[in-house]
Amino acid sequence: MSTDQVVQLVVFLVLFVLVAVMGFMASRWQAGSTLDHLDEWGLGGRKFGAWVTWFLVGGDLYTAYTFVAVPALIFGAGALGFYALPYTVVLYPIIFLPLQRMWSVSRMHGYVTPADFVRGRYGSSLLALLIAITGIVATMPYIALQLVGLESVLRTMGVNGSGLLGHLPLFIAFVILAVYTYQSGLRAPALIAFVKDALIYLVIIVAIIYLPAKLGGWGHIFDQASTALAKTNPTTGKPFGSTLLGPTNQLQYATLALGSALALFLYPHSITGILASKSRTVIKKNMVALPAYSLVLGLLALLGYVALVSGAKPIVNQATGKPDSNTIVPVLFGQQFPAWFAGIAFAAIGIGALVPAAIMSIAAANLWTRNIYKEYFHRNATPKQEATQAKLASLVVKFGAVAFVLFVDPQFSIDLQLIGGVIILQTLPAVAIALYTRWLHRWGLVAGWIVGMGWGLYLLYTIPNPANGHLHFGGSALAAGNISLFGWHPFAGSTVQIYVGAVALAANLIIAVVVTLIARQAKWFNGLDATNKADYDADDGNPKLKEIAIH
Amino acid sequence: MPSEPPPRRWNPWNLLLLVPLLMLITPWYNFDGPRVFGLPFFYWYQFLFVPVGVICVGVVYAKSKGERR
Repeated sequence: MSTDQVVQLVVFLVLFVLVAVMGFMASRWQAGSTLDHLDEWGLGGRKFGAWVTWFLVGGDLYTAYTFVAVPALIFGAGALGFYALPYTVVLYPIIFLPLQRMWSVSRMHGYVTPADFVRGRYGSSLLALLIAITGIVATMPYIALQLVGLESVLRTMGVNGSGLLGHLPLFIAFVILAVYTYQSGLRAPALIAFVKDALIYLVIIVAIIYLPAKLGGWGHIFDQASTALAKTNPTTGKPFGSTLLGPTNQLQYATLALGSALALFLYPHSITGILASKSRTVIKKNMVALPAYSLVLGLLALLGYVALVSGAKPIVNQATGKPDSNTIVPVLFGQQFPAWFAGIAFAAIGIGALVPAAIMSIAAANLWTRNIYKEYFHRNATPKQEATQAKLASLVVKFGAVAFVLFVDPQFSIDLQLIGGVIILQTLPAVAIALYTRWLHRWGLVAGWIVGMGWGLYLLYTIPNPANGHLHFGGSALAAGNISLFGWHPFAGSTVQIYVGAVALAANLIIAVVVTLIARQAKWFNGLDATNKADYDADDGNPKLKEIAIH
Repeated sequence: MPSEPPPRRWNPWNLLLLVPLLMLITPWYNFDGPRVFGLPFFYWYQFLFVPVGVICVGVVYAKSKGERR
């Protein structure tokens, strides 16, 4: 370990300890009468105002992994990686109206998870179970990826041991996180998010002004990057990428951005952040203010080109023996910044991993408790028993994620995250469309889910990754010519690429509509709707709102 | 007890929410030039959509303030 790395590590540790202390103190921040209720532990008392929500949801959506992986994608492939910007720009106009309805109906009925809503809307515990399982399965690798982000920073600082011992620092960091989340619930990440975001904004602004100037300006950087990306990749025999989109990947770019935007607020952790807010006005204000993070993400993405031109090389992960392209931004910071500032930058990424990891584990724990434990194991669970169960589940979820990182190749987490986006998108009809209409029949939704899920997974399975020689799960870009329906190729010969999630969602919707038509013809029972039309418009101050944290 | 407010009505200003989706039409901006501060058109055009999105959502929010409840 060099002197620089020691300075970096000291700065990192100081900030990390500060955040841990805040996490433990958070349980007393704006405390309600009890923490033994999911409204309090799992949703922070449902009373976060506009500022807290901005930091919380910002910390939740723009994760450490995003900040590390998006520039890494640009570093490796060029313009395609920039989809993160359109993704996070089209996101807010799309979700602006549905999210308010989700908040209102959840606030009226005390729903904690999206599966709670589906249960109430369709009176179907099977459909709710499918939604809950999809949510948990999609969230787990996401948590594991936060660890990958944290570990890439630790390895850059020279904490790069091999074998199990190499993962020890990560393990310690996660035990601390697990304990204060257990104690403080959603208030912990909400409070820590303030520090995380302040650090992130500081680092990005400095990086985006200082680094291009140091390396000859953007014009020079883009010229150099185009040349570097145009070189032939020896393993695939094609260019590495381009600073512009090519003829075949434009549809992929647009559908990936749109599909990711549609998927984001179906993830249980995003809903958790929204349900914790105090009123519809808080949500509306945030939909206007959250794009500030998109701007930061877009700027950060460009650092991938800066890294390419600066000659930074990804670090070889001692635990797997392969170069880890996710270390590229930390390496760039380590090389270009003075050690103390690099330490701050690393802390920003590291703490940036803790906030979403905490929220995700809380969201997964809420799903487990409300839609599986309470539904199938302990129907008469009291709110206190629910809270206890969720706290324990949050521990299990976190250690599950650590086990993932310890025993599974990080590449596998990345593959799973890719799958996660495709499968969570399959809950769109049951969760998002149901906010507006009950026209789709519950059996139509179940059938659509099965088909969308099965076909989506199958298509992902058929995609190879020529760059690393993997035959399956090599990406989410599917050549339209390879879309196969029991061996029939409707777009045979086409090399235009499209996002698998969009294809699977289309199949899901078609099946849902067809089965709905049959079910309506046959007059199958469509469950009881526990919600009223007016519930979807209710706002803070409405006398009919369900009381918070009532035992 | 306050009386039940009337149901929310569709607000035509909501249509503004469709404008940012124009960003998904890649053939409109998949060019290198003209560059601004050295950034190819592809990048700065998309950055411009951040304020476009904020303005559209902001106007819809402002126009929804009259709604009761």
